[in-house]
This record gives sequence, structure tokens and C-alpha cells, in this order.
Amino acid sequence: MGIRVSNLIKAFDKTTIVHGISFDVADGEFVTLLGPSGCGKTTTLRCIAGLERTNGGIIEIDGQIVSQPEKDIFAPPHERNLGMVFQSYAIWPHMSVAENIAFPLVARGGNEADTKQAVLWALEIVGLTGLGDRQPSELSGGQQQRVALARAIVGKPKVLLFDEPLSNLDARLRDRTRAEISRIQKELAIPAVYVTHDQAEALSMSDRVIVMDGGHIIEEGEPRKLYRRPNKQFTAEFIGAANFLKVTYKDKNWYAPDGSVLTLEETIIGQEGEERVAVLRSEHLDIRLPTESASNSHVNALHGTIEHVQYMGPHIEYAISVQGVPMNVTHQMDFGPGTKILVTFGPADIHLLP
Amino acid sequence: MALCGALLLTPLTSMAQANDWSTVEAAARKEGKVMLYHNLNPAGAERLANEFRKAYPAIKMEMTRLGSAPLIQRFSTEFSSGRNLADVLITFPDQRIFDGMKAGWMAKWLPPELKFFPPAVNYEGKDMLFNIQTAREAIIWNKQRVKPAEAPQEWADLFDPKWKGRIGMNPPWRSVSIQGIVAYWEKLGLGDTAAKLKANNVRFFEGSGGILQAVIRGDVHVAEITDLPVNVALADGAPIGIVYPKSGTTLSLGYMFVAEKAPNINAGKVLANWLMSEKGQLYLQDFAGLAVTRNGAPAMSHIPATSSLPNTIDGLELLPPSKQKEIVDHWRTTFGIQ
Amino acid sequence: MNNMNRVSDSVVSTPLVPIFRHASIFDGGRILGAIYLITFTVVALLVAIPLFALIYGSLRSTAPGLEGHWTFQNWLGLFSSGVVGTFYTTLFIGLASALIASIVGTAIAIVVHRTDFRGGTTVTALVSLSFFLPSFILAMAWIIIGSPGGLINGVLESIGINDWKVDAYTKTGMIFVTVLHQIPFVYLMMRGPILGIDATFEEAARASGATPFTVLRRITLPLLSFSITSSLVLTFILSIEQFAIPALMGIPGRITVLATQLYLLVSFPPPDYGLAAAIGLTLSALTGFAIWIQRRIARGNRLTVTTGKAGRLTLISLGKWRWAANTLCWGYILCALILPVIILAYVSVLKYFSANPFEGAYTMRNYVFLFESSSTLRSFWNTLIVSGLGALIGVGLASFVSYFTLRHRPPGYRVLDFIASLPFGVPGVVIGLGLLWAYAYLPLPIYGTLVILIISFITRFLSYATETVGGRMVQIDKSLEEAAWTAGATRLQGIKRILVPLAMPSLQGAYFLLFMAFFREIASAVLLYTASTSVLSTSIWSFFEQANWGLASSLSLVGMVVVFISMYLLMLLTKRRPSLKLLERNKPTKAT
Repeated sequence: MGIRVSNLIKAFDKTTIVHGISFDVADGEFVTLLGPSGCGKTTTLRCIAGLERTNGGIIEIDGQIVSQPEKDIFAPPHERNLGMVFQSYAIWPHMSVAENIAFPLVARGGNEADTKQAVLWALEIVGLTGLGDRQPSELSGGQQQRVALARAIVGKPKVLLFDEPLSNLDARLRDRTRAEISRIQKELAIPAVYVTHDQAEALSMSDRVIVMDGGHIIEEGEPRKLYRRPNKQFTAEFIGAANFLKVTYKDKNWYAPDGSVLTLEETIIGQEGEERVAVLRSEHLDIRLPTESASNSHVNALHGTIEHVQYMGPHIEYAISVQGVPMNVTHQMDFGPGTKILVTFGPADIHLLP
Repeated sequence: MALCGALLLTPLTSMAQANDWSTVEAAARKEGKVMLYHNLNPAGAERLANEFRKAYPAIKMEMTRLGSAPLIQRFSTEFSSGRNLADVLITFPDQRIFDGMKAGWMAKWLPPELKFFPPAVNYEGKDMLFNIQTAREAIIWNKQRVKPAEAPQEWADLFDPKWKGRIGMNPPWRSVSIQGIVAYWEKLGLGDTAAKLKANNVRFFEGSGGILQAVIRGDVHVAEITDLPVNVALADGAPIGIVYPKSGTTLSLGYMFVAEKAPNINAGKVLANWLMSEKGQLYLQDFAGLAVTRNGAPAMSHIPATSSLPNTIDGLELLPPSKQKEIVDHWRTTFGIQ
Repeated sequence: MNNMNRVSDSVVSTPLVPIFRHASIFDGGRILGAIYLITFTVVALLVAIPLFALIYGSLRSTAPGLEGHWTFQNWLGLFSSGVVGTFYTTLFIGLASALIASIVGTAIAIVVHRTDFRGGTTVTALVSLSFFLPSFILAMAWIIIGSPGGLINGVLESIGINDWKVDAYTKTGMIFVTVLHQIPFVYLMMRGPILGIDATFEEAARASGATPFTVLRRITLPLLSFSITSSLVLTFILSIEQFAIPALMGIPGRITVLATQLYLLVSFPPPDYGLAAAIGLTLSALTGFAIWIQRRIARGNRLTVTTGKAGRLTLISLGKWRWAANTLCWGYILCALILPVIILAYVSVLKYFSANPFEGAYTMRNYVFLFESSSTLRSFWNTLIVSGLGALIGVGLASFVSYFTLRHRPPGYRVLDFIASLPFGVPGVVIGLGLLWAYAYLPLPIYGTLVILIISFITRFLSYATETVGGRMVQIDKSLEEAAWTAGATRLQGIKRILVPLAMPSLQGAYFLLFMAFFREIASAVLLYTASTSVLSTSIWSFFEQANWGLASSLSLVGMVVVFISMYLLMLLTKRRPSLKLLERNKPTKAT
């Protein structure tokens, strides 16, 4: 039945951290809470876990209300049947790998045979078969992370919670482990809430992403939609690199600041004189010299001057001033700074924020 | 009058006592232990305890040793709070002991051995408090540091500037015996002895044992001392010279009583009686180094018997409570202790 | 469930008001809440009872239990010239000792750990050993060496110097011995900070061209200034609490400090309990104030210079100063450990003291006595009970206090923290006095039993154990406990399975600390013991009081051997420790 959060409020002393947010996680769904530091995502996760008491709102797990301050209901963490993976892994150094993993079952009083079985199963799932007798200090960071994962799933919890589990790993390990977590979650079909500030993780792993800032939910939706057709400027800025252009509606057309007409993918009707913000992704923009001929697909063109060039290896980053508005474009070809160019893009590449 | 009465009654009561006494002994064995509060020197007291154990194997003896003044204080504190731990007390008394007598501290009984003692040991004939030992005040010096010609002979020698910084004693607030000798000095007309000793940079040490140690070590060359530990030291061969001034000296009568509220009263009586027995008195003298009071007790090995000393007087006779306080306050003020 | 995309609209939001709830002490479970209540009550009673007894007594005109009336006389008595003089003496000796001990102790620590001094491990081991040498043994040894009739003067005389004499019964003598006694404490305190200095600070200075000595002077020492000041204050507190040294060395020289004055007032007639109580409270206020200062300093030290990264610190080469360093370190060991033990052994086999070993009358009777004396044997037994059992109870209590004040933090934990830290500043003899009163009159049959000694020691040393255990408790990352809770363990299970095993090394450390502290402690026991409840320290003390140094020495030596053997055996039993590398990981920044 998943998780249901309704009007969750969390305050510390006089400061409200989470301002009454609501969202659901369906059975088997992987939802990420994404946002910058201080946005309230970890606090929300900890409220779901029961590590913090809330100051308002209802939290339901698998149909049971676990927290409702209005009615003085609060189930402590150990009654909520969770599996949680911490940022620091929180592997207990004085127990072996197998003992760590077995803990949730031992704590709830399982019998020895079943426990052994479950531990072996969990070890296999995370790919650590045979390492049960090792001490945690003998394992690498990535392996410890997997022990934490095994421990989280061994008890077949109702809900999986992840608190930025990959931030302590190096880049390559991160990619591998990301895939692992995703795979395991899908295999076990347990609803999961994942907290991160890394949009790459969010986009690649989630069924749905909830973007948060300042204790509020800004926007939520599937990764593709949030990336291509965000509804809020914050979302556009936070996920992927975005350029913003102010466009004006006149005579049934949308105009760029330099007066050129913009061709959009679909007809959007606005009010005369209305101004909106348009989003342009750096990787969709092309650069050509004004003298070159236009390509068919990139019908939109804006005049601009290259301000700054950064050679990145696989591509080159250009900081371009387009009619006073700074834009970033990535391109393969070399252009010198100060060159007057045209920034071009197709109708599908420009998205107007509502 | 009381003396005559006691003498007359003794033969009659002794018979009755013999029967009572075995009852007491049996009860004592049943009680199985006895607690002695005392101010004797502890090593000696241990040996005393060993001998008692040989005499009465069924009774386990425990002891608490403190200086006379703190000892009385502890008993007093315990008594007024209703905690009764002590069975027998041996100490040099002060007014509190005599007040305590009236306040019900002591058991009234007649030890079978009492008949071997001069009547004076039974304080005021009340059958409660018994004088079993006597200590005397004396002057000692370190034989290795002091040539025989220079050795002190009289109390006044203590104030001689040639001993400046090299003289020691027990301070009066620590011991009733010292208060006694100070009172005696006054009687002898020696003036403000506190000031004189302060001018002589007297050093204070903890108890007679401390003074003896200091003299032996040579920290001071000359000292006033209550002679408790001296005999034992002399027997060991310590290079100490001792003199009891001809002008006289004070005695500290060591008293013993059995507590009225003693937890093991019969064992207490047995112990007290044993300490008054011939063997017990001998051990007291040998181990604790104090001259005992039993009739016919042999003299101590290295120092004279009390009877052979000139001009002895019980220190307490010179110390009504007001005098005690006066001496203590005066000395405390002179030396800046509160 | 996912059909309704319920997203809160931040712009048009109904004003949702947060509901605040008072935390309850039973939030972590009923049993835990009950344990908290019990711990709180026990600690409060332990501390409050002697303290209130003293306050009460300071306002009464007579000894407790006797008829009397309320009075301020005792407090006025504080201003009498005698007490004021004692006050100044105490301050003077305390400050001088603290200053010198801090300087010398820090110097030794720097020499051992920051220079190419050879034999550093040995020095560390021996200094730690000296830490456990009771103060009255030091005093006794140095009286024998430095008193007017002592060894130094004997030697001076024999080589013809008659004018210049040494006298241990002076303030100088007392300061000297107190300094000897405090240096191990300073050394052990400064060792951590000195080793923990981030190497990069010094390397930056070296890269700028500073010589090693300059680095020491202008970088290292200023970085350590907080720690040095902190140890200065703590050493000051310990110095003014001293009882045995002023009792043995000060009294013959007629030098009185507050601690001995209190003892004298209570032990000798006419006893002045009221004034003693007032003095006791004043002394405690003094030390309490000093602790408050130290806490402020320590808090400032949180901008810590130690990052836990044990980088390779460059060692200063001593060069021609090696002789000075050797004199300092080995000289200290000689004065504080080797000489006293040799003198102890010498005195223990003499019939009576003689400065010339060739003229001495030797005997083994002081040792024979120990083994034949039932009261001494009982002392040993009592010591094992009081120290062994008492330390166990003390550590248990300290663990609970640490847990509640540092991790769980139920309502009222600040009060618990404050109360538990109060007795640290109270001198032992004052606690003894407070307890003597309180329990002699409370309807509890513990007076005259070992229980009151255990209570006294635990009251006195609880904060030591709490600091030791607590230091470790804060290091254990919270997520380790939270992981247990989210895995299905109750708080109590979390404590049992996670916290206790991880904190075990510090629990053991605290146990050893308490054991040795109880073994050495004389001040808070001297007013409370009776014959049957004598422990080693009080037995030795009473031999001192009788000036029977032969027995005092023999018992001291035998006692120390017994204790060290027991400690060694205990250490062997606790060899197994979990690998704790994972605890030392850098903690990630907390993002929300």
C-alpha cells in the first residue's frame, strides 16, 4: 500500500523546517526527494522513519497511521518495519558482516535457522556471498554500502529509506552502486524513498522525483517530464544546466528579446504583451557563424557574442552573451572568444514555463 | 568511708561474683566478638589482641585506635546519635568522660580482678571507670645530637634559646595530657609558656609517636613528650635520653570503662577484666609501654615506675573545664590556629 | 494511489500551525524512563545529602544532634585572622604548585613527544606509574630526605657545610612535594593535545623558514595555550584539595591550609563542626569557581587544534640541550618514584630511623606484623571490596549518567549533568565531613560500614568516571544507534547491543581509573572509617598518625604490589577489544 504523507509539518523550536507537504509513494514505486542543502528532504525522510517526531500531519505506512500529532499517535522506528540505509552506512564495527545483516531479524526475535537462511539470501542479492564472516573493517567502502543494503532488505520491510547513501563513494563506484540499488528495489518491489542532492542519481533511479526547496515541494513528476518540460524555474535550474530567455507574445507570435520570431513546437497562445520565461538546454543549442547557412532543423537563431571559452575535453563550454543575457552552450567545434555567432535551436528545444 | 565499705564488701561479693562471672563468660563466648576503642599504640595493641585471642579463642577482638581527644569525641557522637559500636573504651579522660559518666555512658559493674588494685583506681568508687595505666610527662632528647652535659634537666630548659628551632611537642589542643603539663607549668610559675615556646620556634608533631620519631630522626633535638611510646623505643635501642624533672610532672591516668549500651556487653566485661588480670596488665605494660596500676606489677624495663618519681600529680586535678578552654584558646591564638 | 498527484501548493497554502508536544521521560520506553528516574534520584541524593548537611551544620551553633540554635557565628568566624591567614596560605601554595607543575609537566610532555628524546616510552610508563603513588608516601620520603634531621642535611654536615640547611617543613617543601605529585596529572593531560596538533600548522611555519625552537615558541605553545591553562586550573584545584601532604609536612611547621584546618577543627577538642562546615563550603566554593573557569576555557577550546589526523610531526632535535632534557625527565622520575620507593623499603626494615644505613638496626618485624595482623588482613579485604565493587557501581552509575546527558537527553538532563558535576570541586575531606554528619543522623544503618566508604568515594569520583565514559560516548556516531532502531531494536536493545560493546574500552578505562582512585583516597575516608571498615589507605594513615613509619612503609609497599598485581590480572582478562577503526571515519557534513 505504500506510503502516504499528508500535511507534514516539522519545526525545531521556533523555526519551521517542513511546511506541511503531502505526497504518496505507491507500492513498488521508487520516489526521490531532490533538493539543495537545507530544503527539508532529509528531515522529511527521518520523519517517515520515526527518528524525528513531527509537529503536524499524518504519515501512513502500508495503510497504518504511524504518526499523527493531532491525535497524539506516534509509532517509534522499531515498530514501523523499515529498512534504512544511512549516509555513513552505520555498519557496526564490533559485529561481523553476517551479524550486522542478521540484526533486524535477531532484534525482532526470529529463530536461528530462518535467520541464517535470510542472511544468505540477502548476501546473495547484494553480491556479497561468502563474505559473511568478515569484519567490517576488512571491507571496502562499496562493500560496506552493500552490507548496509543487505541489512535493510533482509527483514522484508514495508518501506525502504535511503539517506544520501552514495555521497561517500567515489564517482565510478557511485555509478555501479546506483544501478545495483535500482535493480534490487525493482526486484523486491518494495516502495522506496530516496533522498539526494545529486540530480543524476535522481533522474536515473526514480520512478518519480519530488523537487523540494525551503521546506516546500516545488514540483514533482517523472524524470523525463521534469527534465524536458519543467513547470517551475527552480526545477529547470536544479535539474540539468538551463538557460533562460525572456520571451514576449505579440501579434500571435512569441518574440525573443532581440525581436526575432521564435518557432515553437506547439502553438501556445498568450495574452498580448505577456512575458514568459523560456528554458533552453545547453546541449540542445548549436552555434554557427552568421555567414554559414542555416540548417533546416534549427530554425531559431539568436545573435550573440562569445565571452568565454573552456576546453573540457569531450566538449567545449562557451559562455555567450545573447542580447545581454548570458547563456551556456556546449559544442564540439572551436570558436574563439569575442566571435559573433548565432545560437540556434529547433522548435522542440525551447520550452516555455507556465 | 566509701573505701572502707568497698574493702569490707570485697570478700563477701567475691564468692557471688565467681558464680556470676562464669555466666558472664559464657554469654561473652556466645556474643563472639568485642570492640575496643583505645588510644594505645597500635602495634602494641595488635599483640595485645593476639594474647587475648589465646585466652578467649571464641571471642573475636576488633579495635579502633584514635588519639584520646578524638576518641572521646567519636564515642560521644555515636552515643548521642544512638549508634552504639564500642564495647570497651580506654583513653585519657577529660571532662566529657566525667560528664558522660553521669549521662549513662558506662556500665556499672565490678570486675573480679578489681580486688588486686589499689582502691583509688575505681574512680569515685562508682564502679564504672577504672584507672589501669598511667602515662607521665617527660623531656626527651636525641643522644646523638645532644651532648650529656647539655642535656635538659628541667622544664625551664625547654625555653632555653639554645634549642631554638630544635624543640618539639604535642600541641595542647590535641591532648588532655599536654593541657595538664601546661597547667602544671603555670603552677610552677614559668609564665606564658606558649609565647616562650613560640619564640623558640617549637615544632608540633602528631602525637607522642610523632614526637618520638622526630627526635630519633633528628628533626628536633629536644622535646616534651607523654611517655607512652618511650619504653618500647628504648628497648629497641633507640638513642634517646629521658628525664622526669625533679620539680615534678603530671600524670595522665588511663581509664577504661565498659559501655552501658555496648552491643556485646558481656564480651566487653570479659575483655576489661582480662586487661586487669595479671597477664593482661603485663601485656599492657610490655606492648603498650604504659605503666600499669595493678598492685605488685613489675617496673618497666627502661623507665622508672611512677611511684619512684618525685612530685607527681594527676593532670586532671589542675584542669577544670574553664582552665582547659583557657589553655587551648590561648595556645590556639598564640600560634594562629583559628 | 499515484493517480492523485497531491502536491502542496506553496503559494496558496492554508496556514498550517505546528503542534508542539512536551517531551516525556518515557519517550524511549518505560524501562528506560524508569532507569532515568532512578539514576537521577541516586545522583541527586549522593550529592545533595552531604552538601545540605554541611550547609545546615554551618548555620548551627553546636555539633549535630545536640541542642543548639541557628547562628551566623560560624560564617563570621571565617573572617578571623586565623582563617584568613589559612586562606592565603592555601591560595599561595595552590597557585605556586599549579604553576610550577604545569610548566614542568608540559615541558616533560613536549620533550618526550616532540623531540628526539630517547627513552620516551619508558618515561611515559614511569610517569604513569608515579600517578598512582599516594601522596603521603611522597611526603614521608621527602620528609626523611629534607627535614632538619634528614638525609640532605646529614650529607651537608658531613662535608662541612653547616650554615645552609634544608627544611621540608616549610611552604617550599610542601610546594615541592605537591608539584612532584601533580606532574603526572599535567603530563597525562597535555599528552593528548600535544600529540594531536595538526602537523600542517607547524609545517607551514617550517616552510616559512622558522627553526624548530622558534616553531615551538611561536606556534606550538600558543596552540596549546588553552590546554595549558585548562590543566593549570585543574592542577590548582587538586593542589588546594591536598590533605596528606599538608598534614604530614605542614603541621609540624605550623603551616595550615584549609583542608588540614578543617580536619583539625573536627578531630580535636573542642570540636567546631560549625566552623568546619563553613570552611568546607568556602573551600568548595573556591574549587567550584575554579572549575567554572576551566569549563569556560575548555569550551573555547572547541575550536580545536586537533583534527584527529595523526600526521607526522617533525621532531625537534635536542642537540646540546640533551643533557637538560635528560635531567628533567629522569630527574623527575628519580624524585617522584625511585627515591620514595627506595626510602620506603629502607624505612620498612628499620627498628627505628637512622640516617646512616650502616648504623641501622634492621628487622623484618614490620612485614611479619602485616601478615599476622588480622586487622591488616581485613584492611586488604576491605580495600578489594571497596575498590573492586565500588568502582563497578561507580562506572555503572557514570555510564547511565553519560548516556542520559550526552545521548538520550530526556527532560531534565541538564539538571542531572549539573548535579553530577558538582562534587568534582568538593575536596575529599569536606565530603567526608558532610557524610559524617548526614549519615550519623539519618535513619540508615550504614554508618560504620563499608557502604558509607563506597558512597563517599563514588560521590567524590563520579565526575571523573563520567568524563572518561562520556568522552567516548560522544564519539560514537548517532547513526549507529539509529540504524539499530530502524532495524527493529528498541532503545534499550540498542544500548545493550550497540552502545555498550562500542563504549566498552572506555568503560574499562573508567573502571581502572576509579579502582586506583579509590585505592589512593585518604581524605574522604579519614573521618569515616572505623576499625572494621579500615581500608589500606586509612590503615597506612593511622600508622602515620602513630608515627609508626616502619609499619606505614611496609604496608604501603605490600599494598602497592597487591594492587598492581590485581590491576595487571584485570587487564589480562580484558584483552579482547573490537576493531574500532570504523568509528574514526570522517563524519560527512549533514545535508538536509
